[in-house]
Amino acid sequence: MAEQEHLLLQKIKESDKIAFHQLFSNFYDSLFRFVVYRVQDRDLAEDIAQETFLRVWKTREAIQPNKSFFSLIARISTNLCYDHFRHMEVRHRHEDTIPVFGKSHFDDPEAVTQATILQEEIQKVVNDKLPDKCRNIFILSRIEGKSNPEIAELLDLSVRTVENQIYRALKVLRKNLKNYL
Amino acid sequence: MKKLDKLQQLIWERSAQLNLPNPPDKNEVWMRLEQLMDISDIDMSQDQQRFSPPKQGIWSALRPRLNYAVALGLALVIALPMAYDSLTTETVLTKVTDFQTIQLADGSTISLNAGSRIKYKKDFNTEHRTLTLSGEAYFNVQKGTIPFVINTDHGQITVLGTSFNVRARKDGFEVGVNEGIVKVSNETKSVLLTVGEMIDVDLNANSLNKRTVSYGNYPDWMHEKLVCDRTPLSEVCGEIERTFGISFKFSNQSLADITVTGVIDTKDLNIVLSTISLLTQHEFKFDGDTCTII
Repeated sequence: MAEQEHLLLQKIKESDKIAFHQLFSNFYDSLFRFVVYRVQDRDLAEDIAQETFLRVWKTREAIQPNKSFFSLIARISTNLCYDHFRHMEVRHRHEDTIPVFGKSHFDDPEAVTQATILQEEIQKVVNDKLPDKCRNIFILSRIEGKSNPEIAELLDLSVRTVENQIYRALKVLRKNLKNYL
Repeated sequence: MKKLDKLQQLIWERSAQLNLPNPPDKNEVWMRLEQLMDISDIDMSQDQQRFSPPKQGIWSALRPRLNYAVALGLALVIALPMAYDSLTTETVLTKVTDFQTIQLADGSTISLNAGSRIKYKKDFNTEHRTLTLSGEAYFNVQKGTIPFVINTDHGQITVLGTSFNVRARKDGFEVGVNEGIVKVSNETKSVLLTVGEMIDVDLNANSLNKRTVSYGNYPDWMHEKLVCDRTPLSEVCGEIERTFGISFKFSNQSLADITVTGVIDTKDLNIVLSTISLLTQHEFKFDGDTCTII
């Protein structure tokens, strides 16, 4: 997998569109979920995921094939999310309203239960309080359901680091969610 | 994994149970993305051109010419496959009254009857032995490992090495074998033919009818003969038109459907015409180009 990814990245660097399509197919769904987890808006997530891949293509000459591709698109998409939130904040300031971040757009309000409230609180903490690297690993583990060795390979980290980061995430979450138990 | 307390355990479980919307259709996303990629590639190459010349004005001066370049490019895209085709394809054509024998790169020979055409790629005998025939031709195919394939409007003939005749004209399709085995197939059927067998294709019924070659010296035209076995007069006249470069007219259209049986010697046109007159029991008028059957 890592070897294949390395080869594909080398080809993309040389403007190979078929290789790019291959990598797009492998990563699109994960990236979409990664983004939608952060922005909680389907259309916006679709735009950001698309823009992320487009930016990779535009800057393909600068690709470092030995670096993890998921780390790259996670970083680009995270920056795009920040851009979006900054933009929204400015707009809200002009509208003189308080930003309502963290309110899920796709949940049916009728169906809000204790369980879903906890899930939303977890999501909020993950988005607001976790450092980027820690958040990436946590989402890959919990949303994508990947095992620690899989995440380690995907992000080019040691399994030990992945374990530590997940533990760290749980520690931060517990600290912030004490009131929910 | 280090030991988790109760809340961590709950968080661990709940965090995975979040319902996220399904990703959109990947193919549709790719289609849009690909367009954006193409646009960005064009923009990028334009940016490079815009900033590389010393004066920026050059770009705008070039702009109208770019339109011509695009038009030329489009014309090339259309013309190139045609040019490529004509550069890589060999065509042998026989006009009416013509008769030609050609030898192919693999040593096979083809005798082309009048008004026939053979087309094949120049790399014939390297990876394939495939050609296209319209008209009539007698093949003497050298044995080889690459199948020798003849495509016609009516079906395909596949052999490894034999002698056989193919007639693929507008009014009929016929394959007869002098030596070896020949496979004839069309969309619906596939038939194997051996020595002395031939098939006729009824173009209306689209069926392949197998029968035996009922005379020696097959195919007739290779021996300057025209063998008719309940053959419609229109078909007989068609062959004579191609062999002698004349044209036939029927004073009454029903004459075209008369069937003719017999062997016509095609060395001399006068003998041909009088034989037809004899076989059909009809007289004819001939003015040097056109023969009218009365």
